[in-house]
Amino acid sequence: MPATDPSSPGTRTAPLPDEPAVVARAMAGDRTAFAQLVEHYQSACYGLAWRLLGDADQAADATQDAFVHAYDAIGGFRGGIFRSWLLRITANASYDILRRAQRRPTTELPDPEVGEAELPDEAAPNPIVEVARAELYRHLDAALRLLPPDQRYAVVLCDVYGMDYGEVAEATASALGTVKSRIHRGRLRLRELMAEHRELFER
Amino acid sequence: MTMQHQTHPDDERLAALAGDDPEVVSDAPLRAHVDSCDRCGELVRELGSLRAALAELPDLVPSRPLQLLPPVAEPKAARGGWLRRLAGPAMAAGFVLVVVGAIGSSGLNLSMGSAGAAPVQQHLGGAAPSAAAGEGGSESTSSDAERPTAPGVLDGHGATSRAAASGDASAPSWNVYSFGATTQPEVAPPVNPGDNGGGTSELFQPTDPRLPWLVVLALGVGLLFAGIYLRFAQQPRAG
Repeated sequence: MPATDPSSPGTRTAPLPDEPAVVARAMAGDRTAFAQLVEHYQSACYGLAWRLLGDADQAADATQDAFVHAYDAIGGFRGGIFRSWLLRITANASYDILRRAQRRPTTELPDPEVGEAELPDEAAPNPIVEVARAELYRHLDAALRLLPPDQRYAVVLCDVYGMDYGEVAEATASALGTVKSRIHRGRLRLRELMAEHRELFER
Repeated sequence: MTMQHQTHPDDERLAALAGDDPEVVSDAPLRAHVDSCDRCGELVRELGSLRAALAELPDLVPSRPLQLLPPVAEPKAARGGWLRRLAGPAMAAGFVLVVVGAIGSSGLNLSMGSAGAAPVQQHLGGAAPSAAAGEGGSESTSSDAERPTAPGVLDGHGATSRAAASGDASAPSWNVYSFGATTQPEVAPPVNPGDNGGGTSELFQPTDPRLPWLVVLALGVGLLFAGIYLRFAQQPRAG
């Protein structure tokens, strides 16, 4: 079941405290350091893949592929934010899987776990707010799944994971103008889909 | 103060404005319109809230355990693997050759060094001495008589014996290839200077009958060590 990171429910994975040193060791061939990095960011990568692909198994496959590609490419990491670098690789791996799936279309049963977000833990400071936020996330994920794949890709990469237009264009092998149009239309479509849950944004 | 406008900008441009697209943000008329239009202002605000919520979507725990590291590359068993597979047969063959060579050479030593050559000869050739005397004994040199080996064994190897007897020292004179069958050429090999009549070195003589066995022994030892090397020194490299 896609659930939020149990270590920090409802949040994004923060960078490792000594991340530059760990990255340097991984670049030097330290497998333990690389494992530490991907273990730390596997929830982020899987979350991206799941939102791009909308399927738990495909998302796990894409994340696994991304780890392999990252392991092969870690020596060429040119600095910057490791999380963004790993997410770009995950996006590429997800896009590859999506293209393969589009070439071989299959009838998929709806995933009963789609959009399920982990309930906030008991230690949450304000359970009502946390429940409402979890509800919002669940509906957002469900709405994202209803977007056309091209728009979903663009919106997820840009608005969920903070990539700029150029990075999205590179990840999707699309023209910049096309990417912009997909993002804008995707936002508008998402707004329509979330219209009946508008009150959740107010909290 | 907001108002109702008859016309509105394209919604995609408003979505771009909500996303802080630099191209649209610098569009002053558009911003002015949004600031003054209920419908467009509301749309941009909603899109802004939507983007903020999207940016907070949490990470997700994978649906199944993921392998964090690719498997370590298999040791290159293909390269050198066939060599290691030869180790066992090589050691076995080497062992057999060592045993055969050792028995062969020691058997010759025993028979050559013993005084019981005559029984062996009898076992092999029966009434050899007289026949030997008849065939080539008369041609024997005087040194032959001093040699410990009896000339009777020439029975079964007449041709060789004759070649030897003819004085052709270069002719092959390997006339012993079986256990205990100790024969010597009728004509003694060239005597080394300083040799005191029949005191030639037993080792490394071209005509030494033990040489084939020593070769077998050396070959066996070599194979044995080669097998041990292949088995234990050629370990697959880990990682």
